Amino acid sequence: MSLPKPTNPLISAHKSSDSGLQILLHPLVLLNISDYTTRHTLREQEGPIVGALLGQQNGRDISLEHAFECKVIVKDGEIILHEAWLEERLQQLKDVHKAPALDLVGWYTHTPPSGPQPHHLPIHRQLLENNESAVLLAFHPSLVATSSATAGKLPLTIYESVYEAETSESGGKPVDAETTDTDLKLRFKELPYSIETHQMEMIGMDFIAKGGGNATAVKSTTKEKVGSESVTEKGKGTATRKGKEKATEYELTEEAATNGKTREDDNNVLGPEDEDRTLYPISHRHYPTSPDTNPHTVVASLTAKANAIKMLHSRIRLLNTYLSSLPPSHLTDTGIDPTIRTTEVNHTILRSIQALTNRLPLIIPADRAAFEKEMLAEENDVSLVALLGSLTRSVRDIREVGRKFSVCPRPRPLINPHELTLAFPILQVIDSQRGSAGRGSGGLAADLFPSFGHGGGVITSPTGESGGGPRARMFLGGGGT
Amino acid sequence: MEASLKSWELDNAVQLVDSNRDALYSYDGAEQSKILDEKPWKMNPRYFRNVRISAVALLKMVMHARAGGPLEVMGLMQGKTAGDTFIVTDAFRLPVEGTETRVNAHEEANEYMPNYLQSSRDVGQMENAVGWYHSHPGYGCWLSGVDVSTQLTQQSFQDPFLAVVIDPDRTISAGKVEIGAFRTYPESYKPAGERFGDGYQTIPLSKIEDFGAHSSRYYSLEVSHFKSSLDTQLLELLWNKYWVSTLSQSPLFTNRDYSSKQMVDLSQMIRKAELSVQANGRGMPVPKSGGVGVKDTQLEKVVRDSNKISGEEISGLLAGVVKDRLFNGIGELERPAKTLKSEKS
Ligand SMILES: [Zn+2]
Repeated sequence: MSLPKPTNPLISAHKSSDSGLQILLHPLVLLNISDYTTRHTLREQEGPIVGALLGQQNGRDISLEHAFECKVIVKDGEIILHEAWLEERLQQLKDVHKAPALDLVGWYTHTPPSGPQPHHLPIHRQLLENNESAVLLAFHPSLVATSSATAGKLPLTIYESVYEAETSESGGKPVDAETTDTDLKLRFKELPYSIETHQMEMIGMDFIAKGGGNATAVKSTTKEKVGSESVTEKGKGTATRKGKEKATEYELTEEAATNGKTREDDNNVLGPEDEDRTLYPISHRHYPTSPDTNPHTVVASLTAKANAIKMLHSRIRLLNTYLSSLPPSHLTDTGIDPTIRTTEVNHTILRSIQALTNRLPLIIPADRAAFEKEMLAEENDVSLVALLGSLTRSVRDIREVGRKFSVCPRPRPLINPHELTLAFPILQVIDSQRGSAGRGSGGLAADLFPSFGHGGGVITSPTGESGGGPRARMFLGGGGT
Repeated sequence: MEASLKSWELDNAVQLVDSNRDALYSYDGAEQSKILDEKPWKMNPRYFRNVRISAVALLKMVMHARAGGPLEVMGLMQGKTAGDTFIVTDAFRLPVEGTETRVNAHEEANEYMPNYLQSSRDVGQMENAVGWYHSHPGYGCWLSGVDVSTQLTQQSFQDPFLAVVIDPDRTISAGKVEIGAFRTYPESYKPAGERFGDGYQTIPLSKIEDFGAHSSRYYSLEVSHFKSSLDTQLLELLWNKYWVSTLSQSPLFTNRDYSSKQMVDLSQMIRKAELSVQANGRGMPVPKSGGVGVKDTQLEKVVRDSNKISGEEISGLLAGVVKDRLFNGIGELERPAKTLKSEKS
């Protein structure tokens, strides 16, 4: 909500937009701009960086959902979009963005922080012919570094355009800004925007942000590292095979990879090993699961939450700091002279803070009891699922023990083969450790059998069924050899 | 005019790009055609081992998969290769969608592809198509029989070519992008022993046959992604905007259908595992290989799946608990404060 720089004659003197347009900016647009900027620069392409914005307009909301770079030509001394090319490309993208249908809603380019310049006008006029509410997303490359440093707003401004009658204070100086035959001038007005993300888009952004060189949050980095390292190895491989000119290029990749890694490591709160240890204590080494299974998802989602809470906290602290820096109220403390102003009081901010605090009670569920009941039900469901998970794990581990037991030399013959279950060996081990005879494997095993063999119904060990005897003896006896 | 062009170009962002760290964004046409001439992948059926996907390509594919909902969608990836690695720099949608059998190169798409690639080249995006992607909503990242034959055809006529599969449903429920990249073996090649994903992922029973029948015909590549230094800076700034939704989402609620589907599948799988445990428990006394190596594959699957589901459920519940702790207490502290205020004024 920075005020337009008064020095730019193309910015409307009327500060706020009266069209009431609201921009919903999707992250994909930003990545598109960034991608094109990087590519354009590295490939040393000619010409300005210009692209079109696709989105939807619903009433006063304009969403910017997609972007693509544009071909420009010079015509009569003005830089404009290549009409035929644009038409074709636009059709191509419309063909695949049918639900919801996207249309051309504006364009983007790089501008100085002060806003659009006269040489930006031809393209804007060109677009206005088809869509009178075409917007301009002005990306300010010079602000990128500083905005990152201050964790401030995105280095961009979104403008709508209006035709305004010449006013005395703007003085008719911008000759290029003149429209054709009226004395109305094309002016830009800043529009408010908010970032809009679908859940899927957010997961995608998160995924991108965490992997491959960014250090904002902890994530399963194993995959990342494996990836980067193999690129590195390959780099070396090809370098030796193909000679020096290749080597340089791959070293660059390697360096980038190491950069990424060190940055990740610095910020790793929990390494992948820690994650495994905390959440996956049972013999995971024998059963390599996919690196994406639960330990990582749980820790990753918790980390994301932790980061978000930190953010929330810092925002609240910011508000708090602002409020406490304000001059004390002269209403509550009559000793203060209201005419002496210490800090500039911004009433808009104060009003929004008040609105915010007034809304707070609304987040409490109206029917607390029902909410808690629902929560409890959900918790029960989840606990059941978790119980099922640990049950299946136990069953597997018990079978593993049984199998290992079967290859161990057997100290003495087994009695009572009819009661054998998969769990039998471990129980026997426990029995013998307790110093009980093991013969008859009396107490413990027998106690547990009924519940193990017939209960639950999750994975039953079915030796209770007929025919279990002789074979089970073989099973336990290591084949009877 | 020259002047205006110059002044505009001054705005271009040279200082935003680090030619070292962003090296993957460059393109050397001569180098690529040299690789194309040499065809090093002809020597080794598993020549390609890695895929690196750019941030913008990844997000485009993910968004496309989501847009398709329960329908499968399909698109192409543009990029290049370097050594054993595919570098995917961009992706675009194809005007086809449908069920598994329909995911195939259609006539409409056949016309669309070259036109799209041409208009990309017009703006300096010189990359060729290096692969195709499609979505498997809810049933995991692997190649079906139809996919395998599509990929085989592509690899014989279009190589180097890559198949990528994205599962939007699982992406949502796991909270991370579920993506897999694959290449098929030549038809003459018989992989020694190893099959793709020898049961490392959950496949619904309705698809398991299709999966099992073809899983030895392809292998998967290691997928990672990359982003430019400018991407990194913008993403950090974006976090300032979208952290809110990290707190506000309710995965348990939004994924209810998907998770009940998962549970149904799991219960069927448990039944099967039960049968196989019964059979093995009695019929397999001595490990055949002489060691302890023989595993209950069914049981393994059950364990893996139930672990995965419980992990997702726990994450979901934690989201709810965090929200509850964070916000439900607030109002109660707030109310007395408010009444105090109103008394004063
Ligand atoms: Zn498929």
